[in-house]
Amino acid sequence: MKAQEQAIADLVLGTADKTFDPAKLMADAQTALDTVRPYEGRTALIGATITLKRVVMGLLNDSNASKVFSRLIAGASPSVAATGMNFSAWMSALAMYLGVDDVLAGDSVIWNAAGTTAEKFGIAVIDAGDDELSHKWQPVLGKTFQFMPDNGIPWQITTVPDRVNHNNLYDAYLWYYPKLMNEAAVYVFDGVGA
Amino acid sequence: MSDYYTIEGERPELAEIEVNAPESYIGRKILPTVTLVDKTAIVYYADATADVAAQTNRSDGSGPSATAISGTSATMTCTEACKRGTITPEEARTMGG
Repeated sequence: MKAQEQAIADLVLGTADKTFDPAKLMADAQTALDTVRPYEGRTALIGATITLKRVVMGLLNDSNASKVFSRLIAGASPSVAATGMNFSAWMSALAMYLGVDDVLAGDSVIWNAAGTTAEKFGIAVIDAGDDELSHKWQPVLGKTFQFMPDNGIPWQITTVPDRVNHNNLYDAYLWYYPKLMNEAAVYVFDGVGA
Repeated sequence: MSDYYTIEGERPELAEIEVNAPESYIGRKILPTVTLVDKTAIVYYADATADVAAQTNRSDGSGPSATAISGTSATMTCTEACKRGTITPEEARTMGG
């Protein structure tokens, strides 16, 4: 499943459209939202947990953006500010600040992998996934095609007795193909340094 | 010795156990799963295109011009990922039964 997740991450965050600049992120995010607007679904901010944290830190370190952003986290009173600094609050603040519906924070090893997804995050339109064939009649970001001949079971599992080394071996096979159908439905930022 | 080997061959009961994706894995929320019975296929899908003008007249005896709804296609081939787990006969001895 890690291989599948990595393949999806590499596809979604494969090509950068813009370099991250905390001072301009609100305007750049609006450009991203305008770019992905023709597609149907909910808008989502996608990135590694560590990358999204670095985005927040970048915003807080910027002299202008920090005032707006910290006000979003803090709310109206100091007591709210004191309890509002967990990661969920950070994600909510990013959603409010950038104007997206959801924030999807992925595994930092996979979604911040050196050479592919490192220092990247994206704004995309994703469909709910409750209709397997939605890509037939509406432009969606993409789908993961999975070979499931046995009633939706993704795994083929076989026991292999190893008489040479005296072991019981269990092989699990999975076949998948992630496909990005509408590349313009995701807008990718890179350059989110540590 | 063969008593300490577990069942040989296909393990459909293991395959049927629902697998929970790790909590931080978000890939299937972004690119939802489509099930197929072939590992290779041509998939047709819709892309964002400009509005197509409606046809307002046509010749007698001919049908309206067709516009493909799933206007784009691509060949897809599922790649394999596999993993092997091991239980030694020594461990099988301590598994009861």
